[in-house]
Amino acid sequence: MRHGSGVDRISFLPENVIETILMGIPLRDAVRTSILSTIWRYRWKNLPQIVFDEKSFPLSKWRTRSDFENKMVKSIDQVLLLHVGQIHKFTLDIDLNSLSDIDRWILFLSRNGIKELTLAIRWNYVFYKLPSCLFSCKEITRLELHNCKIRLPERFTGLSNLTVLKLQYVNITVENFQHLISSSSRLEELVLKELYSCPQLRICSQKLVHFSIDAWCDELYLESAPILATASILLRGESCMEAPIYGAECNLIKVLGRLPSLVLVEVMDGVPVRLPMTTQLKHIAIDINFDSVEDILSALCVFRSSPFLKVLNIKVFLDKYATGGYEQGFWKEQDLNCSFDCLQLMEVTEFTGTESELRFIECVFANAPILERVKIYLKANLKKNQGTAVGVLSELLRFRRSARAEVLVAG
Amino acid sequence: MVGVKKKMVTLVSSDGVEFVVEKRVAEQSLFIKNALNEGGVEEKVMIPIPKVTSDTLSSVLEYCEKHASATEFQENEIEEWDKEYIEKADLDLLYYLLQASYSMSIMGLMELGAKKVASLIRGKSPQEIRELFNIKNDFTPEQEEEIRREMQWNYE
Repeated sequence: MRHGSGVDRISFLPENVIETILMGIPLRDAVRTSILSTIWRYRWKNLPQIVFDEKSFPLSKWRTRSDFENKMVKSIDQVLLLHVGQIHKFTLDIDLNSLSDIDRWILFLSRNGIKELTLAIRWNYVFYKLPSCLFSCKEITRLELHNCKIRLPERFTGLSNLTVLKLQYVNITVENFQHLISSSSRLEELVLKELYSCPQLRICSQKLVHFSIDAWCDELYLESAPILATASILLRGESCMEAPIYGAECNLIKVLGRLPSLVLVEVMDGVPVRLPMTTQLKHIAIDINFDSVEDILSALCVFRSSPFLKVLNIKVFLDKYATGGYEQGFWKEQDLNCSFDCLQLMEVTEFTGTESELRFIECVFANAPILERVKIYLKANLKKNQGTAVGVLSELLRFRRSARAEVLVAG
Repeated sequence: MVGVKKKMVTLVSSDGVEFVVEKRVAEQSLFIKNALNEGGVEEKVMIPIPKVTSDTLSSVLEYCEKHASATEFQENEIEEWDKEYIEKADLDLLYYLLQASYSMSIMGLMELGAKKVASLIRGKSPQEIRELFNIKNDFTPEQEEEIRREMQWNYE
């Protein structure tokens, strides 16, 4: 890189730019900029965002676990002590064992108007029990918790400014979950991952717009979410694992149809969905196991209830434990009666070219009068086998389809 | 599209050079977008861009052109393009691009430039950073000693 004019090429940039630069380097390096010159003296101390993770303090440099642990605790204490401005956002994503220290930092942050908090404390698979002070922290807008245990204090009245809540591998009771969601009246985005402790989930949330769940849960009730726009749903019920295909009473997403604003739904892993009435869905992303009759039927059921569907993303999914049921005659016997009147864009990924996949695409083509664009991404093993690939593709292109539909095939 | 007249605007750099660009390209800058909205719909629009020289503005517009014509399907391609674009900027240009992106409110360019600067700082000693960016160390030895003590924990 050329050496410029001898003029300082960084120090006098606008404060916002400096802030963005400092937030782009590990905290350790940001702290060291104090010593560059007088103008840099307090810059890092005003950063609104503090991140402690593996990148900012690499573990590999420390000989022993306790060395690392001591160093880490000291560093966080120092940073919080030296910092002058308000800390809007704090991230702690690190393996730590000293739970009382974490309690102390959360207490400090909760008294100082923290708005966005991310905690991912992974230590020996023991949940970190959040101190109750966190739940009286009214300014908080965004909460991401990983590997924590939530027990709401008795007089909990809700996190009234919370808009985004992400829980992963979090221990919470059914009652606490419901209370937390329904009392956080501004919640717009809810992401749940690896929840084991709630066999039943009920969501009542007046402002909820985005919802995503990937959890061990038998029943999910989206009871009241009038402006929910996107939902991504993957349920793994225990009872469902025992009886993977037929008549499983678990994993029912109930009353999807009562969500008038829902326009995007992602359904993965073959969840039987019951749609009691017509939905407003415009975009569906769905994983389909084309060897499983149950899966195909449940997908068709979603499509039938979605007359306004514009964009359809399908991921072909193979699960050797959940296959079965599909026979050659299946598609002939199906009363397909499924129209895609508004469908404009279809994408199929992981396409393997089986008979069942081909018949499905043929069916969509035949019933989508205004289809404009179809993209098909081949799975790796089909790409390798050129002979089969050519056969599959030429069959694909023979299907009768809307005159203006363009078909793209990509590897 | 043939036959459809594209809406053009004229941007004037601080050293008086005029750049005629499509409106949709210029509007990558929030500063210009707001200026256009306030000014209503005029046939011939001239917008002065203070504090941005023609050299810098031409590079800024190269960025805007690319980002105005990119579709959502080209995410990877645009990432690649960004990388090459910022890679070829020397420290002077990088500095002016950051100033311009800030004053013209082009968030994407500001973040791209800041990321580049961050990558240049990362892992370097204070002295190396000073040399690279021509930062003058104006601390007295006493002050420097004080800061070193304050940051002792960060060096252990």
